[in-house]
Amino acid sequence: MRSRPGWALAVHVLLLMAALVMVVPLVWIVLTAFKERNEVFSQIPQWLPAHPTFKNFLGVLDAMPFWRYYWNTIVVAFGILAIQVVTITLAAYAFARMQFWGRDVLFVLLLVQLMIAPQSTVIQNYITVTRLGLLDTKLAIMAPYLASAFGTFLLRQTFKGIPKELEEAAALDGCGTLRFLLHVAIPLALPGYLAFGLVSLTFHWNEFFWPLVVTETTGSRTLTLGLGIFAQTAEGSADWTMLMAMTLMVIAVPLGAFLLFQRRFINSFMQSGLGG
Amino acid sequence: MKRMAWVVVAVLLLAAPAWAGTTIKFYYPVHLTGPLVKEVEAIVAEFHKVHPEINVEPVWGGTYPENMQKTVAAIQAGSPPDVAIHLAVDLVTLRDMDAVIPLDDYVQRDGGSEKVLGDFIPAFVSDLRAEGKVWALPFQRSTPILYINKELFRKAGLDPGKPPTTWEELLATAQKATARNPQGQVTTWGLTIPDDIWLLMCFIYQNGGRTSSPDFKKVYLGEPEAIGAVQFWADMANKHKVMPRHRTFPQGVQDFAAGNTAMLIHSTGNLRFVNDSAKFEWATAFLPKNKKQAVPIGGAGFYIFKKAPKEKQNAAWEFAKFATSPEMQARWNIGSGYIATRKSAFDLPIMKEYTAKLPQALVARDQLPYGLPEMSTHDNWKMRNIFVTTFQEILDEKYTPADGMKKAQTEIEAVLAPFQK
Repeated sequence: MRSRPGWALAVHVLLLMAALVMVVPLVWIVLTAFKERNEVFSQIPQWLPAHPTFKNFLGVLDAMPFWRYYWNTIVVAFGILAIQVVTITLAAYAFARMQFWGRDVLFVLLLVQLMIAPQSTVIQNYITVTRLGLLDTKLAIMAPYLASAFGTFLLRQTFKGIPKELEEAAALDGCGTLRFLLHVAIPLALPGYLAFGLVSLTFHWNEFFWPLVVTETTGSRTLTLGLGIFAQTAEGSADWTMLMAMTLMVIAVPLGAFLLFQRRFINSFMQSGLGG
Repeated sequence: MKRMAWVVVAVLLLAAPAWAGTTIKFYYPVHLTGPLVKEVEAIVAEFHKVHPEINVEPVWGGTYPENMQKTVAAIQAGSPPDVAIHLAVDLVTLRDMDAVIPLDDYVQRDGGSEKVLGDFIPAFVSDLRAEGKVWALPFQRSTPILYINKELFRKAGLDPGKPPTTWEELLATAQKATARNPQGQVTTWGLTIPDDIWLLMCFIYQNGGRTSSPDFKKVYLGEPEAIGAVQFWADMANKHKVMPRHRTFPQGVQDFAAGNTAMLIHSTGNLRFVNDSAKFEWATAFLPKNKKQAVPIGGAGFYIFKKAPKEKQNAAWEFAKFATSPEMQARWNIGSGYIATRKSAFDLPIMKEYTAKLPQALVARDQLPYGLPEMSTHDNWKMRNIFVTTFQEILDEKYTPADGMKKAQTEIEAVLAPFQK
């Protein structure tokens, strides 16, 4: 079956079509970003901008402290991930390998947390952050996410897959728990970390409502809030050309990172599928 | 640690800029896009020139509901802003939380009601009153108006100089202007109205109906006038098929700008967008009347918060007064399309120049004598949610207008039950 050329062709056509579905919006973003405002609403959609212009990009830079927002976003998204990696590693190891009273109950409680919609805790979190004196800081955006139930769960599964014998052998050679984690468990769980990192980064790169509520000044506001200036329009129309220009600039970093590490990302998912 | 604190104090003192006086925190929403954030910041900058002793920190809070959630969170954490722009219909919620102060003392101090409030367009102040007091200064106000695509009118053999003035004419015009292809699919809609209850209120009022009581405790959705209004609307969408069932506010105005609909009932706040985007001749008109001419008023006002110390409240009052002055209102109107809230703003040279170039803008103001306060109750967002969901289900023919409206009435009565005393 598999060797038949017709079959391969069909698969490729199908994949190409799927790829097209993914790529077309991206291409549309790029083209719209260079259009004049009134070209967007022509009755027959125009693919190519009639008079390509950089006006939208300059407009975005003029409308907000763009680079400051970019820096804040990088600090927040990567900062969260860096701390999460520490907290989820230790928690996952404890849940996967250590014996202690109430472990399974605690683990179930942790999983329950996955089901709570973040929106429902906004006001409580806001009050906590205010009492900690963190209001309007980057740390305030990060605070609720420094531990991650999803990450802990994901890693626990991965750690459970590591043979016990490996740890015992390491222990015989005089390797303590932390060293075992650092030199054996973490490298083996790398695909899991990559998958989690991708999810965490995209989520926090895109987050809107919590940063909106908890920050007030340029020093702590993130890119999504800048985007919101063009997009949050309950009463009127969004400013599409500016919005697309800014979207292009905002996704440049995650998109670039993905293209750069594409092969590794894909491999990581395939391996985590096998190893799970 | 102590030394550290002194260093901080010293640095702060050295860095203290010219204002050194009062700093107030100001939350504001922007319901329309991009440039308006700049417009608000420009108003703040102008204010600093006149009042160097006050420093206003503007904080963009998203759309109206988002900004309101931000304020509510801040109130509950005990750190509300000093001054904020919220909807007129949020007045009940803010008062239920005991978060804002009435402005009557300031009005008296500055020379009395006639002097301070007399120049505001009366309809804009009326919905900011409760229990005989004034709770906010009107800002960012709008009403629905009828937008007309003149080219599509001509194409359909209609006179673009004669917009429909009654419900019957509205339907007849929409029927003529709706274009279909040989398969019977609509290619141009005769009329588009976003399926939002703010716009439904137009029809209820025009049908001689009422929506909510002045004490915010009752609604009247089960009354025949309200049901009749929904019936007329639903028939246009489902029976006559001259307008789409569902459109959001952004979709509605984009459809109009793209020339996909001959008429649009939408906020005046989009005048600037339509003017910037439409490549055809367009006009505006009063909403058609039925039993009477009527239009609900939307928009917001400057609220001053109770928890702010007296000096900050004073500063907030100065700022609110400045931002609603005729000059700033004229500027805001030109920049956004929202109606200036001051009568005298329309006599200023910049405003005369603007309305000469864009006479469509005057229609919104001239329609204001027919303005009525927007529907508003305790627990307002919950009430709205029930109403709009049921309304959309009626349009989907899940309920008849009579059944649906009665159901909404019952559900909202349950929400309002705790407030009945």
